[in-house]
Amino acid sequence: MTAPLPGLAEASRAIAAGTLSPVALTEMALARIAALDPALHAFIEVTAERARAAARQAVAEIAAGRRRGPLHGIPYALKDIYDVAGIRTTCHSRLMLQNMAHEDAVTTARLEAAGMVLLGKLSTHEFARGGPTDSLPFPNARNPWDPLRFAGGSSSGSGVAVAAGMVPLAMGSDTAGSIRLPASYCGIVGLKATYGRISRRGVFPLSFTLDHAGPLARTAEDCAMALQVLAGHDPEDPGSADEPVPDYLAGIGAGIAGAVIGRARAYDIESGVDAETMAALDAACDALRGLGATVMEVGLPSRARTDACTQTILLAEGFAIHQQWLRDRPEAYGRVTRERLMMGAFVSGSEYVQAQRLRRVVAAEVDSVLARCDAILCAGSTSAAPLLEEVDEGPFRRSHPVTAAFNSTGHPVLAMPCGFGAGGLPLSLQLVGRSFGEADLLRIAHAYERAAGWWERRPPLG
Amino acid sequence: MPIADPETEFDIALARAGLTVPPERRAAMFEGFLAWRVMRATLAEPLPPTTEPAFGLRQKAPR
Repeated sequence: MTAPLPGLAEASRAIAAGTLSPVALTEMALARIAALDPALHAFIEVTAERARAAARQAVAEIAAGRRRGPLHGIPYALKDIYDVAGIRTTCHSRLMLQNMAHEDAVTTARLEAAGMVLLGKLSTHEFARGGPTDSLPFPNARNPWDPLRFAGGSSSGSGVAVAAGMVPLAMGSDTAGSIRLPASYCGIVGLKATYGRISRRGVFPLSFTLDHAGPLARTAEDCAMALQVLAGHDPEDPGSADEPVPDYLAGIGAGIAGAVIGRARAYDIESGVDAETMAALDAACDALRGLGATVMEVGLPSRARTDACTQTILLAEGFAIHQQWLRDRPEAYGRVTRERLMMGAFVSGSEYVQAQRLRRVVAAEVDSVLARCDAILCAGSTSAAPLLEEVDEGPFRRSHPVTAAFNSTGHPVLAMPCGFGAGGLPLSLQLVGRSFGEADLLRIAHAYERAAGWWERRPPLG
Repeated sequence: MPIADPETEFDIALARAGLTVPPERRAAMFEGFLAWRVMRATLAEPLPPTTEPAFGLRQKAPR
């Protein structure tokens, strides 16, 4: 068995020091994928020859003194809803098996321009909407901590590939938690940046006003390195924000003395967060205090209101995208995807408008909390990864993810490990920041991560 | 368009959208629809005029 790949920052430092070659790193990744992916199914397509060619080019450029930046020569992979020119984007669906992309997504183009090495396309819940056991044209990704448990979704392959050490960076998308849930269940870091911070152009949509593109990686620093390349205004993405991009790494190690963390305990209780996760969150608060932060209790908008916003908007916008296929080729979808998308038929125009109006209210309420603290801390998931047989795959979930509120509000959120449960499975917290305040969020996450050390644990894969 | 009878509303919405639910999945879909009806009641919260969703129409003057 080959060793797991180093994280983004570690690989970058080694390449800069000349102790690691992009070719060797790429071969290491391909060997790791060959060894593990037959059981974990993180990848839909491995672009081995393209990766080898890109790695050789990186070696030549770096040797010639033309290192493009800190990500040059490092492998990455994309959730298979991201376009790459010349490679099909399947969305893990029978409906898209022949869908050849003719242009790179903006995010793909940015990572390629930074000199990264594409390893392939990753498994997802169908159209970023279905469930983990749906019958689809490719196998569903398996949690590397325990293959009988949910890997999280919808960016399931992204979470699995990073956690299993196949790749240091994977891109996911997050409409109600689809970056943060796989990060939580797989024990890694997932960043949903502020709505508009990262272009969505060339990423197959699920819900126009809730979708966020973003990275999954091993550490907060790795996410900061990725965000540095990914962030920026895209005038052709109607949701893109024309805001300056700060240096996300400049202050990441500055510590958090004097920071104020808002602990959203009531929100977690209302969400049904279990006892071992609550204990891990309390311990995380203690660790933050130990680093010089103040922790205060804060209230958030009720789950009933935030769920009503997010679910109504998601149902209506997802249905608008899929209605024609749902009419004409319903049998081509997996059962879970089809039924969840069909639920959008029940949302009226007035309900959609009311949800958008209520969204403004709850976003303002979260803003008012963040006026009193630097970040809000709450659970990343209500428990460790559940068994696959316990996952609710009905048309309309009995309970909605603890992550979804912040898709409606658009605030940046980072999910990261905060301990391990009795079953040896990762537990997770979310840190919610001020709009476009990713640098502060990453600094807080980095400080906690270094103090707690959970990021160093890897799944028992050998 | 509140319709008192949920089953009638369920059938009308599917027919209007041109969708067909297989008979063996009708009960599960209907259960989901009932859960959605409960959730949507939350949207009736009185909202101030400042919440109008006008952001999508914001215009910029030519430069």
